[in-house]
Amino acid sequence: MIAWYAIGIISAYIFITGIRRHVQAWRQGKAEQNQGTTLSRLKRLVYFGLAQGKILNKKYNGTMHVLISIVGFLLLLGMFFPVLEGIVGYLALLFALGLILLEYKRLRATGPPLETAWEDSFVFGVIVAMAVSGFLMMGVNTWAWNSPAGDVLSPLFTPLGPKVLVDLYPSLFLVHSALVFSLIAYIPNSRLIHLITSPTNVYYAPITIKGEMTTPFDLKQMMESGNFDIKVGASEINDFTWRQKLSFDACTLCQRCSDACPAKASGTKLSPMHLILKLKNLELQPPDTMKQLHGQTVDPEELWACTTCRACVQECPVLIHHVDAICDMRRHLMAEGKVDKKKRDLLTFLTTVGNTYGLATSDRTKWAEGLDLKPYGDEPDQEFLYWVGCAGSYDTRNQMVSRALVKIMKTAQIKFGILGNDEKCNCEVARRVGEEGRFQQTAMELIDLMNKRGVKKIVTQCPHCYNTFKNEYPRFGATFQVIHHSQLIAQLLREGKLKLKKGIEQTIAYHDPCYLGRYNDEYEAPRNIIRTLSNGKLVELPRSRAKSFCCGGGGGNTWYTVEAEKKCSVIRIAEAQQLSPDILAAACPYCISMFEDASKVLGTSEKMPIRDIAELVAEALE
Amino acid sequence: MPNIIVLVKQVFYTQDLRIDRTNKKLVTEGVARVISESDKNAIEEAVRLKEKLSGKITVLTMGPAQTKEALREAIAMGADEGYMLTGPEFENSDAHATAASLAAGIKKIGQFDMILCGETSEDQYSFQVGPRTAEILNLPQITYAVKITIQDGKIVAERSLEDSYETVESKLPAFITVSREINEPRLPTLMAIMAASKKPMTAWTGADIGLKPNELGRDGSLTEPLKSAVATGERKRILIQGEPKEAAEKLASALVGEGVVKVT
Repeated sequence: MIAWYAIGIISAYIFITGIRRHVQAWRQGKAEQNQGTTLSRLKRLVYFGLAQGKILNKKYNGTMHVLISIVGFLLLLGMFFPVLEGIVGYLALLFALGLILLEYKRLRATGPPLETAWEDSFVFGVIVAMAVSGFLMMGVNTWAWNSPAGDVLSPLFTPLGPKVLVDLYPSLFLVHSALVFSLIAYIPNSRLIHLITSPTNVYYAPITIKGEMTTPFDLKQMMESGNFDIKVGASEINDFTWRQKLSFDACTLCQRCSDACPAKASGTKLSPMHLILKLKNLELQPPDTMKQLHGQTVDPEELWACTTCRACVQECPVLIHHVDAICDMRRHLMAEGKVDKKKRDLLTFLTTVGNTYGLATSDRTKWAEGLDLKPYGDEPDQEFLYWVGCAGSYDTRNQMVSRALVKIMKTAQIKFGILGNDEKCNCEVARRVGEEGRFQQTAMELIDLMNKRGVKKIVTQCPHCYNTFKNEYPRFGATFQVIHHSQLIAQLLREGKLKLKKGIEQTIAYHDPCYLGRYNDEYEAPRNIIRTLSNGKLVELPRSRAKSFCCGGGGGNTWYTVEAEKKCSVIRIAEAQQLSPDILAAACPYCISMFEDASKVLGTSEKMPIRDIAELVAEALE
Repeated sequence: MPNIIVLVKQVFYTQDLRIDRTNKKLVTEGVARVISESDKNAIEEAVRLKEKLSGKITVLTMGPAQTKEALREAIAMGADEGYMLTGPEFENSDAHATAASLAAGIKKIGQFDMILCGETSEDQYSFQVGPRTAEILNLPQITYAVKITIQDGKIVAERSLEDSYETVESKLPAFITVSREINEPRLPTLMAIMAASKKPMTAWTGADIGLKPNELGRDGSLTEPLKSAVATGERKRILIQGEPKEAAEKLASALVGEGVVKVT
């Protein structure tokens, strides 16, 4: 018994020292206020941690994980609380099933092995040995547990005679305990650290609006105080907050983020899991080592490859926010002026002509010639400001969508106005490439302009504009309501204010734009429109709704070239082609532009035309 | 440790300029003002030299009150201080009067090892102000530089000529005009531009730089614009069709035929 306590105490000591090393590493990060109430966070801990809400999104892996983690935890408790003895025997069987499922998965794994492969095998071996010793204990000591496995094994031991068995049992118990304790001691140095870090991160992950990026400074306040001495963005690991550093440490190497990542699929340098792991390794280096991010640890190409589509964040079972970390690092590159010509051109366009295309401000309303649109504020009863967006104004393909939407609103007798040449990019893209100051300045300017014009409701066909107005502008004082054109059209159809003269007989597949779906949970409005239009001939793509695969245009990626093997848009069009729908519908100007190009590359333009839902509805009005 | 003066000009953002068809005048209302492109290259080159050799960068500009924005932007890119020649007396200066004013400003600033400016401004495209200023200051000048190195107190520069490059050497101080291909200028963030407001910026009038009214602006100019006209040209609208190989051949021979491409 002394040996048991000794091993226990030593392992607890090693465990605690190891954990302290992690905690100390996190604490070197910047300060961050906890967001959300304690109760809301506890609820989340129960859902994502205890109930493994997201882990179970993948049935096989999730089941396996529950069997090993939750059951394993109960077995550990069984060592200390005799109350559980009645079920330990059955739990052990479930645990063993988990291990078998895990080994089967390990054997069938494809792709290059992880860096931790050797260590993982070792840990797995220890766990198996622990389980085997546990079962032997049950076989030897059949009177202590109600154990089916023990009942099967006991005949093997009966010939030894009761005396030997009574002597053997404590030794087995000691071996079993030693294995358990050494595993616990080893936790802080292995990927098992996620037993501690993942639930901790789930608890501390900020409860925020999905579509809102972090706000690293308040430009207005700085302009008032005249003090601009602030470091923007992350250049070294301790520029991340303690909570972000905790989140990197929470990575379990499950690879779900990288499997979902369009940048990874298109063969760019970015793999979200590996990026997070690089950050994790860097923060756990001894305190006196260099902790610079850019250059050796992180390649700028990795950062610029991100489309901010949020697939990684959506998939991560332990609530790591990859996109925020990427944008923090982009902010530093931007502050240092370390950006290529295309990004500089893009930002120059935003400051000079207020659009992403570099075209003349005076040409913003050319698309509307002959449509007799009124400036917003000219008529008293205008319900909506129609925010056309840069693509809807300047891109010839998306101008067709703008005209379709105008036709729909006019048919439904919606009163609306436009800002005309006073409209300018709301700088969603500036914020996402790291130019926070430009974004905030534009936000203040536009909010001021719209307040002066008395804007109450905005409708837009661009999910990026929609998201930024809805989720990011309120922090800077915006109070207007924002609605996406899919929501408006769905509502008009539902209320009977828009009557279709004909349906569409063809099958329509719908692609969920990231900023409408994953960021704003609007999956139904566009589908309802298509169902109404096509008599229910809506086809779901293999990856749809929250699992939708980005067109590749977000996060500034429309405006610069990332080295890739295959474009995201081409991958997506090929995916849609497998179902051979007659039409591929989307509800975002980036998606429309990207898919039009990809369709030409793949030669599918004619058999599967790309249409915005507004175009489909406008046609049905004729 | 070179002391560098960079001359910059603020111009209208040309892509946003258009001509009013009724009165044939430039519409400048609401058009953004930016630092002329090759002047940005000059600032960038100065900042790179400073990053390598340390030293100090002073920016000098001439223009209306809002030209201060150009100074702030240049400082945000890495310059240390800025001077601007401003006031109605400088209005309507031609290349000669501009060079005279800038030269007087440079003399007032005093110490320098090198003066850098863009080869030309994006609005006038005269290519004259740099060389004229150098002449007034009686400095050795290197124009159209695409590469600059400083060795043993001398400057070695590569010049871009129409169909060749030339490497030249000069003692310091010297005057250099740079071409666009010399570098890719960095883009300062809005925060950096705002922070630049705190750096020293000084405005000088004609009297401050010791020039008489008849040496400034229109009175000090040798040339006078008489009339402006809109250039019109008809496009030929030739459409070449056919298989890529065939079409490319036709296009090539058409270009040769037009004298656009020379076959050697």
